[in-house]
Parts: sequence; structure tokens; C-alpha cells
Amino acid sequence: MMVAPRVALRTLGCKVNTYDTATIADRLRAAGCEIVPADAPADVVIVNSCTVTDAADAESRRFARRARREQPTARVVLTGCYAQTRPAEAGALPAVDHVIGLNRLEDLVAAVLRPTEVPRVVVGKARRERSVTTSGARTFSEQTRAFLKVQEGCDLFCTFCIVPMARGASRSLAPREVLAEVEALAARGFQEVVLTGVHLGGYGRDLEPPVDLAWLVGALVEQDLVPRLRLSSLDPHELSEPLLRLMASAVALCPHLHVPLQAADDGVLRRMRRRYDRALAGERLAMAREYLPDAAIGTDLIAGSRARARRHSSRRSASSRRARSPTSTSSRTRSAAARPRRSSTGSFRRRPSPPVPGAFAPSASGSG
Amino acid sequence: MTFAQRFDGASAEVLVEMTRHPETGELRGYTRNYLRARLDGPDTWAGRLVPVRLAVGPDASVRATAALPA
Repeated sequence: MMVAPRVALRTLGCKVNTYDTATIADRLRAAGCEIVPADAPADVVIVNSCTVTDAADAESRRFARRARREQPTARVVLTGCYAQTRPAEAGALPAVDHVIGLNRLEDLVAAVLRPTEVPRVVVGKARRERSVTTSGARTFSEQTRAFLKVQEGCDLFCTFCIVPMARGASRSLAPREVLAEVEALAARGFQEVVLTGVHLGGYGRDLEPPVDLAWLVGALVEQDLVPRLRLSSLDPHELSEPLLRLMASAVALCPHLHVPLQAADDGVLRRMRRRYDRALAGERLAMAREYLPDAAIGTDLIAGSRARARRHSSRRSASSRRARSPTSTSSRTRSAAARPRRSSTGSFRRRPSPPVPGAFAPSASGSG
Repeated sequence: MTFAQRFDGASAEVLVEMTRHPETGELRGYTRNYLRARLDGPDTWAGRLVPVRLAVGPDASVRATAALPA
């Protein structure tokens, strides 16, 4: 009888990636693998990579090399967004045995169990994907919250972001499946479910008939399935009055918003191709504060190049009132902003952000 | 005043996580509005919603005391 291969999973990046890792672990367990801690001796190390910044690309390569160095007898499989968007580069890494793109769960399982039957690089066209392949709720050993990915992909194409190329077109889990998943989690004893997605605010637009996030959340609240529901990131213009009213009235819906502003200058927002300007973001945040006076509201800001930050930081500072929020975005080659004619970013670096508009509280619910 | 300090003395509910703080051994969890609180209590509270009263320190750290005995 074949001994179950021991598989260690190492994850970079966002909560969606963490979710995907849990999905991979579940699928491998079902296929007879033993999932071991990330740094435990293993027969296969899977690195779930990230490509949100150039630094994330480099970190993904570092993770692969470190896996090879620490476990020289293990096979190293690279998957995730970096693998999806840079298959040739990833495939050229001597530390890596297989490169498996997103939405290729069965190929990933095969690369673990039957490596000789799988090409070294298996990566499809992300923008052609139409399914939410990692549907289903996922839980993590140290957390009592369950995460449910209800939406995958993004159609926004903000100029600083490569995610639409990695994750593909926006697509949503059908409402009845969402309800069934939440019900199943509640039956397992979970007290809180976090609805997440690469672009959660785009939920339902691809469905027939189309619905929106407020509609979905309303249906979940009406069913009274779980004591707590929490939402991951929403762009400022997606803070709709129906959604905020629902959050104010439904006890189950946690008063917690993560709103990635990215910038507070209209020129920068235009160049980023964000769907709102400073005035609209301010209006929506004020409305959120009015409906939800005790809510935690967090944000992300792109710090920008030093020169640009000097020009614009006074504007952010002038409108800040209370807390500070961490910022963690840096440069992204292959995003539209990185193309010479559209470059609005210059040399980004990781650093604390200046004060930001509105009354923000620390938050850790970003996605994508 | 920080965001957390607005809730000093407030009643809340903490969803207790599965593991204790590695250094202090305290339980920990989040309130509905995402304040991260520490509290003393039995292992059986892990995964449960526990009614608490919050005490917020000058450094904005949040301590929770169970409103009811374990």
C-alpha cells in the first residue's frame, strides 16, 4: 500500500490566498495526503505565491528557494498568483519542480501524487475562467471564524493592480450555494462567517438575474443562520445606503468595514482608474459613520513615490482626524501603471502611511 | 482618544479564538467591531461568544472581563 505523501503548504499574500491554501489542503486530504505543518519534514512543499507587487514576486521566489534549501529531498510545487501570471519565469527557477496555475486543483493534486504524469508547467488563461473553483467554506486551525469566498476575480483593472490578470473575470457563487454553505458552517458550530472575495463589492453582477452584495447579505440576515456575519474589503463607492442601513439594523452583521481608498487626491485616483473621487469617498465614509457610529473602519493607502508623496501628502494630512492606518502597497510591473505612458507610480516602497481621511480604526480584513 | 478608548467600560461580546496568547497564556478574541481583546477564562470558551465588559489601557490595548462566571 502506498504511504500517504506528507505535504507542507506555505502561503504568501492575501486572505483569498489563505482561503485557497485551505481549499488545496482539503482536496489533498481527500486524495489521501497527510497535511503537515508548513515547516515540518515533508515529501512535497507547496508554495501558494502572490504577485500583488514586485516585492511579492521576489518573496514568492524566495519562498520556493527556501523550501528547496530547507527540504532538499522534497519536491517543490509553486502555485498561486505569481505562478499564474509569470509561468515562464517561475518554471525557470531551479528550486521548483512544478508550476501549477490557479483553477488547476486537479493538476495540483496530480503533481503531488503522480508527478511524472504532469507537465512541469500547467497554467491556463485566467480571464477565460468562469467558475468560482474554490467554492465552499474554509476554516483555519487557530481561528474561530470561518471564511467563505463568495466571489472570485475582478473586472476593475485599476492601473496599479495585476490581480484581474491573475484571478480572471469577476464571477459569483450562486446565492443558494452561499446560504447552504453558511448554514453548514453554523451547523458545525461556527459563530462567525466572513464573506470574502477578490472584489466582494462586485458580487452578483455576473449572475442571472443580477443581484448585489446588499441583496445577498439581506437574504443571509433574514435566514438568521449564524450569530455573526462580517464583510471583507469594499471600495468606497460600494458603500451603498441599503448595505449600510442593513448593517445598522441587523445585529448579526458586524459593524466593521475595510475600505481601501488607495489615494486621497483626485488626480492620483484618476490615474489609478479608481471608480470614485475624493468627494464621493468622503460622502460614503460620512454616511458609513452616520449609520454605524461604533464601526471599525480601516483602509489601505498607496504611499507612492517620494516625490509624489511630498506633493500630495499635505492633502491627506489636512483631512485626517483620528487614527493612522498601515499601508502596504508597492510597485507592480505588468499592471497598467507600470507601462511607461501610464506610469503614475514611480518607485514605491513599503513605509508607514501619512494620516488618512475620516475616522479609521486598525483593521485586518483586506482581500485581493 | 483612540478608537479603542471610546469603548472603555462598554459591554461587548468576544468571539474567543482557539489558541491562547503564546506569552501570557490569556485567551483572546475579537468584538463585533473588531477590537482585539484579551481575557482570562477556561479552554471551554474557545470558539464561543462570551459577553464581557471592556477595559482599554492608555496604549489602546483591550482587556475583557467576562460578564458572567465561567
